[in-house]
Amino acid sequence: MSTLFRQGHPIINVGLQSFSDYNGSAGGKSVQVDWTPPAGGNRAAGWSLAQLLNHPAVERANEKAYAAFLAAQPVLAGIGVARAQLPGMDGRMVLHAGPPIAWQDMCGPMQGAVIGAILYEGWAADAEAARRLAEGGTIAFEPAHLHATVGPMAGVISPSMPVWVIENAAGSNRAYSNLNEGLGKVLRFGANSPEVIKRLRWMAEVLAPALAAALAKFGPLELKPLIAQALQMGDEVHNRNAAASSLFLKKIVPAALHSGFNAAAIADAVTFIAGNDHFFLNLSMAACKSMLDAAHGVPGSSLVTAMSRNGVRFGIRLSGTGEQWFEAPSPVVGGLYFPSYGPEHAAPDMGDSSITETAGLGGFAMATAPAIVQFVGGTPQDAIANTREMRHITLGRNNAFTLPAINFSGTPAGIDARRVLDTNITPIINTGIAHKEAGVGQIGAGITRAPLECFTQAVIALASRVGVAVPAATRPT
Amino acid sequence: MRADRIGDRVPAPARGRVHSVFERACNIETRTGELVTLLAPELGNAPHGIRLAVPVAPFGSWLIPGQSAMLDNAALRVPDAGIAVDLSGAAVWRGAVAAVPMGLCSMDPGGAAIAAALRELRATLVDRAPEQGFTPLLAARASARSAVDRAFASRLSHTLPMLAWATERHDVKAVAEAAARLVGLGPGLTPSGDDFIAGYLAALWSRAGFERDIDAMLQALADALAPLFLRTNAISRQMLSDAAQGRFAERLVDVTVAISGAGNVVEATARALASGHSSGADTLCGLLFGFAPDHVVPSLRDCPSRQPLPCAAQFESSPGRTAAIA
Amino acid sequence: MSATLVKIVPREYRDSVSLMQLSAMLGKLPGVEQASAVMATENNLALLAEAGLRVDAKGAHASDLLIVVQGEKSALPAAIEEAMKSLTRQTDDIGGEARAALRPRSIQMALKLAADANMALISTPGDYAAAEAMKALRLGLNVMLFSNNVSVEEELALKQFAREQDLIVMGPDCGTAIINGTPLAFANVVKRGPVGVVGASGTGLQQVTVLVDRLGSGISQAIGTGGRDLGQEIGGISMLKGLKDLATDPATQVIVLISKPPAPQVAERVLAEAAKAGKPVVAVFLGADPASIARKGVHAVKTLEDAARAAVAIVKGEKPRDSYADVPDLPAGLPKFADSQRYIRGLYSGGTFCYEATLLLGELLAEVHSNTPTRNAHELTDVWQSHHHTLVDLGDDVFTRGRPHPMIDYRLRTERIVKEAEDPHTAVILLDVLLGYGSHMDPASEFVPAIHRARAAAAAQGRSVAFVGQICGTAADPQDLARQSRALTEAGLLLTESNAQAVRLAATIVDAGVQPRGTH
Repeated sequence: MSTLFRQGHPIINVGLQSFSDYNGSAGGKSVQVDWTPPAGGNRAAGWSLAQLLNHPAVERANEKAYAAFLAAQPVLAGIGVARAQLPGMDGRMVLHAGPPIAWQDMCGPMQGAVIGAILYEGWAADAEAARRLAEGGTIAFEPAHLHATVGPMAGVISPSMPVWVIENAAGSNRAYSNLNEGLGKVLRFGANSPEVIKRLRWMAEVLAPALAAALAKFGPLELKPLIAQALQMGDEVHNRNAAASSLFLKKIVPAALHSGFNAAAIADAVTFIAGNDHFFLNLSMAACKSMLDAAHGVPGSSLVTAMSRNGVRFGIRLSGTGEQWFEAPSPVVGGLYFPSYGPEHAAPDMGDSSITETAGLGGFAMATAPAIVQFVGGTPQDAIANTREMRHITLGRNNAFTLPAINFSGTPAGIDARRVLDTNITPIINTGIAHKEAGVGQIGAGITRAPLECFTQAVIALASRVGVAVPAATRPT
Repeated sequence: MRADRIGDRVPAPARGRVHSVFERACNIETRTGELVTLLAPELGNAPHGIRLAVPVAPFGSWLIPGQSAMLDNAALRVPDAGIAVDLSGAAVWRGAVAAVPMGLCSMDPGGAAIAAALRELRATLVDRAPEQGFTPLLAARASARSAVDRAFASRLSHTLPMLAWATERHDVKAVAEAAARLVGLGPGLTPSGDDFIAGYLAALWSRAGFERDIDAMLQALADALAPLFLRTNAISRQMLSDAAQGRFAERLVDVTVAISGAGNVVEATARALASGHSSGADTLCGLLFGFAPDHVVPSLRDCPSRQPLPCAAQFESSPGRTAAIA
Repeated sequence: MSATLVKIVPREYRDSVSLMQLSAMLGKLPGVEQASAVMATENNLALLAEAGLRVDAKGAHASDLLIVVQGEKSALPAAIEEAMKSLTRQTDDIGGEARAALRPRSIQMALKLAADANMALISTPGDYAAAEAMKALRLGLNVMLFSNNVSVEEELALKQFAREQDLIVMGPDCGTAIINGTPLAFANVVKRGPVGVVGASGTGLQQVTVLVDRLGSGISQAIGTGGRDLGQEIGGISMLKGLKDLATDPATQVIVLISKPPAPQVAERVLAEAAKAGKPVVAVFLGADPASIARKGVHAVKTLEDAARAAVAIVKGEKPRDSYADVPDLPAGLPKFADSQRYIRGLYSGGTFCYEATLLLGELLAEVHSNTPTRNAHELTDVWQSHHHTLVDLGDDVFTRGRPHPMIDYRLRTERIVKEAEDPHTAVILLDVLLGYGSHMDPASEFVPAIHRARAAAAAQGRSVAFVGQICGTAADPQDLARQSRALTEAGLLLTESNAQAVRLAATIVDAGVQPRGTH
């Protein structure tokens, strides 16, 4: 018998609410879909999406990619120098956050950071010379993501900077990030004054070797359990890293003290880390990058493996569409601004740090960090609602990271580009706000959303790779 | 937190533990093995039920199986969940069914009303019930989608005529034998067979007010059925032991009241159908069966061994009438 | 050879709805033939054995949950895993709050709340409707596509995919269906019964289901196909599927097919299948000669009314009798027409009613004009202006651009009624009144004052006009059929049982008015 004639089954009503009402008064059951045109009304994307829904090739690919993501076991293996560690990093190359961007298109803070990096490397004597060098075309600018690396804000990394080395113990990939400089006048917000360069040198010459010695003593540090513990303590490891940074310090200090390394250096290093609640952010990001790279490159998969911003454009990548970026203008963040600043001072959203949301942390784990929603005047209930909302666009939940506020359920993780498009629910991102002029620094923090347009393009591209047809009638004119 | 109704079978004082938690109900198992059910206000009461006066958050958000609970005449306390339900203002509710005289001739106005009520009950069931459990039988819908469904239907097709026959002869042993084949049978938290038996017993208790033989049979039946109830889960077991003692859930009681002429059958039936996925429907099938087995198992209508109704004889002179009854 | 896998979950109490949803969800997984999640009681274990499932459930207790999946051996472990996942998923949240927190935004989300849904009703703007329908199909749901403006290419893609999945697409532009006794979109509340209907026309479907109900029988299922289904491009995919489903539906004894004449090859295909249905089939292809349709097992009729009559007759074991040629008695108290009053003016809200009326009237009278023209009737050149006998479908796109359909918004019709009454050539005004879900909640409140105004307008010029119509509705419809009939009859509308009867009565009245003059 036809499945249609089975008695007592509810219908799903998409469109006119009155049909649900009629059905109800006639004794039927129905579920009303709160419908808006999917893909923001882009018909071609909508039709591609429809064909990809429950598509066997995509489902299989996502299973594979998601399994690799969940299985990944990021371990902090040590510290090295970018030039020696990062794949494909050579010569005069400067890495930056987000999708590819040319020097002249970069926003103020990113240009400032690049100038700082040039000065740090000694490629130019002063800021003016550095600017000319950057304009001259002899420096290669590439997204950090292309080198298995992530950096917060400008994300600028040059060859002689120290980097964290993260190994995926359950796979074969490595991921990298730079070391966090703290708050105030720092390179990642575009500052490049002598004190900034001096601090960067100290980090390379004192902090990195001290940490390397401590890590050598401690052995490989598993990052997932540490993040899991921090989540229980009110961090979402993007905009709040207070607990994680403390936990990290607790592990590393005894090892550092027993490492036999210069005591004064260790004292300085520990003091530096203790003064920076965001010290763990770069580790959290690299851990996320490690998990997501493990899931990258599965043909047909609609799993989002990167969301990142270069301060001008917002880009995403899918596991199943290789190195292609799908971009849209980066949004200006609404949020809580420090006194005397407002949105008119803000650079558009910037940084690779949204890798944490891509991995189901940050905004996706907001339920555990109600302190964050205060940035936008929200309540703990809003925080829980945000996490819950993200469940509708993810492939599942990561039970390695559980959230006490919602009965220890796993964080929603593994963004499915199809679900984003189908529901018009875009990923939520907790973020810091940079001043649009170089070197001013952070002027606020808030919550933003990834632009839908990125997912629209991504789904169209995936559909063409999977080979689903777009009938003539729905092709855009 | 305040309760407005408390079932007359709720033991007090008692100590126990949270046994199972659902969105709008929670069972507490006492040390003596009874299950007391805490109910959200929108649900009907039960003989072992305590019903809250005002809506609360889903039970799962504050109650967890294993938490210890204490019950006395003043309150139900679950200290680990930080709750105390005030029972002092709760009215005692007695889940007894309404008496329904089935012996009346269908030409008697009262008899005709009851016959009409049963037809309405049946029609509403056929119309609104889910395609699971006993109801498909009623509508003669062969909805056997799987081998399990077929086995279920086949078992019913053997067991129900047996039960009808045993009931008609007031044969306690045979009723228990048939019931043994239904206990714990079929889908659902309270398996369909259990719901059916509860409904069936409700009909017998309704009839007992007017039929002395049924009344006598029920006294013996409680003992005969008790061991069978161990063959199903604790939630079903509590429902069935209450049923054997003549105590039933409020929604079911309301249907018997409506059948007796003091309410709207269609509305009461619709409310009763809303419980569980198919539990309400299965219970009502049992009820209908207890009153008029041939409404549930159409083949019984053609059964030659069935005695003619007493009033059929009165109209034998009228050929049209006889034809209609035969 | 299918295998069985069993999982016992100790002391797992789930409410019945969750258990049912769990079984439904497991049953839909790839490679799973059947699945059940029941309490592990003695009797349930015995039942599984009786069903031929070998279940090793040693140590299982009546308080345990027993999950059984049967199907391809390789698929079963994954299914059990999925079951366990879904069980933990249900416990790891705070009760039902998550449901309240966010209404479903997509079909996929809605399925989480209603895993056992078997159909999606889609009424989004046409630009997006095909995609929604495709999603529903891909998720295993049947589709009723109410939306219009779906391209033929999209319709074909949807229907071909549905055919592969053994699902049905009702539509696009499908306004009416009655599934399992529940009226969907614009439909009437009819009794359930043995007559199954598949129709390419919404109002056609309404007329037949309403008449079957009024004739004392009932409807098992009424399936819409959308108006283009029987065209060359689509090839009748939905009608063939509906036919097949009704043929195998135990509750259906007679099948009625409703359409305008299909493309010839499609007609052949449909009729060949109908002849093989194993049940009597009644076909009404409005505008086609019944003789060209009839064949063994297929009873062809000319009007919607006769389709309903034939179906009910066959159910009762009687021989169908056509009624379309019956001449109605002239009712008493008809107005005396002036010499100029020679014409019928039909103002329709149902497109199929207008088309059927045009067909019938075209055979009876000359000079019939309509915006739903037929072989015997002329195309109405100016739809706003009546000419000789005129039948207008006011649901045509020309009239509905920027305003609601005349089934809901009566303004165009009430204005036109008065206008026609003012025309000295108008003798009879012919109307249809649609009841049921979706239609105007009180048509009499619109028509009664309009009829009074029209009478007054005609009387002012010394004339009187007759009003004839039918109400397509049942006693169970939300509008209260009895009250509507009473109010309209009191206002002077001569009500007939069907559209065809209304047309014949109008023709008879005009004839009677004209002939006496001819003999002068």
